[in-house]
Amino acid sequence: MIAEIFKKMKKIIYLSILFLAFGCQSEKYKDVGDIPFDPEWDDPKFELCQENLIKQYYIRKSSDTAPTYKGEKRGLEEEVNSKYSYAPKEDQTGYITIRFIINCHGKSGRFRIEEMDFDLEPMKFDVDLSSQIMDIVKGLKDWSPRTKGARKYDFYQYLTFKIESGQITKILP
Amino acid sequence: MLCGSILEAQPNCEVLKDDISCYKSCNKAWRAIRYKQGSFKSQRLFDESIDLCPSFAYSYMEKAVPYLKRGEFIQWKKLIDQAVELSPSKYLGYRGWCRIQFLRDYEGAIKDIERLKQEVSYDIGYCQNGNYHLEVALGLCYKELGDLEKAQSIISNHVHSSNYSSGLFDYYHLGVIEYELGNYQTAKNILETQLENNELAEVYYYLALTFEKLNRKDEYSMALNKSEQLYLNGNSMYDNYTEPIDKLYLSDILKEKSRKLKIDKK
Repeated sequence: MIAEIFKKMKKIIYLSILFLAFGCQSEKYKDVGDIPFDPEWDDPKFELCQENLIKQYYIRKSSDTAPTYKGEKRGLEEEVNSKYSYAPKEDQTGYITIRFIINCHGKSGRFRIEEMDFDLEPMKFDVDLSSQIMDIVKGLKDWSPRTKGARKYDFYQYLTFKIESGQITKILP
Repeated sequence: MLCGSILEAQPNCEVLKDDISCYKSCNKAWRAIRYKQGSFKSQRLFDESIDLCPSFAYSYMEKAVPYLKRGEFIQWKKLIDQAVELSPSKYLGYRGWCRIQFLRDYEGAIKDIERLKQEVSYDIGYCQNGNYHLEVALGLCYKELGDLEKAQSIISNHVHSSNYSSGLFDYYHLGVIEYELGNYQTAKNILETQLENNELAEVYYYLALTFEKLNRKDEYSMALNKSEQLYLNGNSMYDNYTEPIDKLYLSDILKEKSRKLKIDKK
């Protein structure tokens, strides 16, 4: 019994070392825009089809089908605008960008947020506002991944919200 | 719209031969652009290039591009500002256009383009993708800020200038502006000029709206149907990176059709 527990613990320690080593390496040598798994923030149940083959949303061959949202950009805008509510407040002005991954099944995860003013200097919005935006983005469920024939791919996506006096005036890109 | 990597695809290092460090820096940049854009190796080579010659603006600009495309704007801004500071005549127009395309920062873009006009005595040139002359981009900024008269004046003056070379969507945007100003006959003529260059769902959509204002009901319906058909065939404004200005979607066309149907039923 004790030997079995000891064996299991050894395995866990080995896997943890492996994970840490790999995690540190991928963080150190990551490309611009990469979002490595962070156990502190990310849902371990969010799975990717090919961790090493996540393309940016704009990279594809002309024969591939572009990633999109149900109802195209208007569908996304309508969904966001129907859920978002914040009383006008002048100092709540700038951009919020949320970067994330959409897997080959159209599910999203590994969300990262960046908040900035119109000069692109870091700033902090009211938590009520920024967390609302984050929750809305996490709640977008109708993504379609990039496809090539029958094959579907994971991809990186970002959404930037232009916010003026607390109101969303544009969703980019 | 590709707003970066073809700005200056390959620097000419030979002109830097008198300055050994900057010559080496330039060659590092050459190596950097051979790797996948935004990759760790490419970015590291740009860092080394900058270390060798901190005044080599090209490496700041190229290192910035993947941050822009991937939504890391704080990083992009730090780098592109350095490129602009080192070489304003080369990068002001570029930064201005990127502000429009990726951030819809029209005030910032106006400042950059106007400053460029003061910096140089020659033609301020085009956006990197070549779709717009920067003068048209300037007009679009005013349009998006709601100053339609100024937008109309800038773009109209540009398309009537002696050495005008037709941009991909110049007449479309001008047609939209004329429509929004209530100049329906002018809008119709301009949108039809755009159709001589390229048939797009968006152009027919606005042509339909214009026909409606001119009380030409049959032509309205025909234009709207044509707009839908073109959209479904993939003939609409498209860009790999961002949503083009005045881009329309199928739902916009269908909404207009259903609006008209409701009015006709009453």
